[in-house]
Amino acid sequence: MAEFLNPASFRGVTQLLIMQPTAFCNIDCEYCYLPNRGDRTAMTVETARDAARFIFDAGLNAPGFTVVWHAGEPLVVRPRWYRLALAAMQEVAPQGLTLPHAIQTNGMLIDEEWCDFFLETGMRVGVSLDGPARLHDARRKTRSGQGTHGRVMRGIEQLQRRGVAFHIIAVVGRPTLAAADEFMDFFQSHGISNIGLNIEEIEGPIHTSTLQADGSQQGFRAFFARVIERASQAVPVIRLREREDLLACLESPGFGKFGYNSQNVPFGIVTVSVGGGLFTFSPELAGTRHDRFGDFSIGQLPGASVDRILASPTFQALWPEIEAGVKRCRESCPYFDVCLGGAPSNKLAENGSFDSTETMHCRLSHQAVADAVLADLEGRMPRLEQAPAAGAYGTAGP
Amino acid sequence: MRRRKSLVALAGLNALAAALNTLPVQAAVSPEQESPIHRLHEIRRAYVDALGQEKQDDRTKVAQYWGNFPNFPNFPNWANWNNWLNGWRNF
Repeated sequence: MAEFLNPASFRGVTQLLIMQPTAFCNIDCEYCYLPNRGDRTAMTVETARDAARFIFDAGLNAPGFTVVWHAGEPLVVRPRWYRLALAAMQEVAPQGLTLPHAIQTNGMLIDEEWCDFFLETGMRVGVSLDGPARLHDARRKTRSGQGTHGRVMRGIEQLQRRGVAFHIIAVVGRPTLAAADEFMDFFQSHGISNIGLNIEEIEGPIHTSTLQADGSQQGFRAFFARVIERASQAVPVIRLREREDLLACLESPGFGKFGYNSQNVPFGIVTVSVGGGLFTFSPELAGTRHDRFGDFSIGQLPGASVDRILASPTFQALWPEIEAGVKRCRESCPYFDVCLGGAPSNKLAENGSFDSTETMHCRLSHQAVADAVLADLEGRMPRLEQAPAAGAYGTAGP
Repeated sequence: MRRRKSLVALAGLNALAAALNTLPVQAAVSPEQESPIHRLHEIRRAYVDALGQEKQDDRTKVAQYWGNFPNFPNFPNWANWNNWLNGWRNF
């Protein structure tokens, strides 16, 4: 893999630039791994410009490159700041490239001004919502311990009223596994048709998960199988990120030939902290600390360059260990072609080392999902003969 | 024709599975081996064949597209293959 240690080799590799406009969050979810959630410092417009310049000067941006605003509550910073930041980043983008932006919010602060901004900029919006109030409010709370569901739903209703497209990311914990129908009834009844599922992970300072209990893998597989069934029966069809992603994987002409995913290849994802710190590999590594890897920062804006990063002690410690873990996955796991070596942050948090293999995150987010989607596909194949209509598999088009 | 071929293959698989169910060695197949991941490539082939020519053409375009990035032949990008997924990452 020595050929990777050449700045030119990384051209066109970065899919996501994750920007942390502030580490501050206005709520206090029990499973949140982000540190410094009380720090109200905001990123400067100049740091946003420097981040874009770092990517474009090195030619790191892949086709489809997207900027995602996240890692704190991004709506705490107001639209007028984003207008300046987006303009500054666009100024240094290659000619002809219109930068696509996305934002992941808890939805509490969505108002008319934000809707105007989303419509004006075309920014893609993701809202974190764990389903009905009973499930959501159990973990997603204000700093005073109150549930947040009511305010999030008001924000969602505002998005819907204004015609702002959005998707949901829902965190699934143990209580959700027994409530697949309640979960899907809720989303369907609110006209929500794009959903991604994140499991309640062990990551950074979070050392436990309700999903560690015995039987969670079987429970998650059954939950996901039921969710797939309900999603395909819904009118309009509900799109599940995990299912769509696996189908896209199966459809890819490169299937079976890929060796890495965006979290375990250098610069696949680049994260920029509020103060201009640069990170790569799993975004969750940003801001956490480790005895051997420090704060995982590989550089500092302004002035960072790919060649200096490749020579830095942090990068030189991270990459061989991450790569060794991917190699072990490749050699030992039947799910490798659909997972491509797992998430370094989960390996470190669960197994104590990047040079390791299976995690709870793998077993649920990849293995149980693959089992359910593949079983569903197998079950549908014979029926195609009677109903060969286009889109019978529910594959999402662009 | 592609769909019919894949269905024939699947019918064959189903027949094989049914035959296996009647064999006395059935107990030797562990529940783990019954997981569909062990039939990943067969399921994928049948799925892709069933997608039809339109998707096949798209796949060719994507293959050409990734051919522009020879430095990272091992680097996948499901998200760009299916633009709908852009912006949906697990973080």
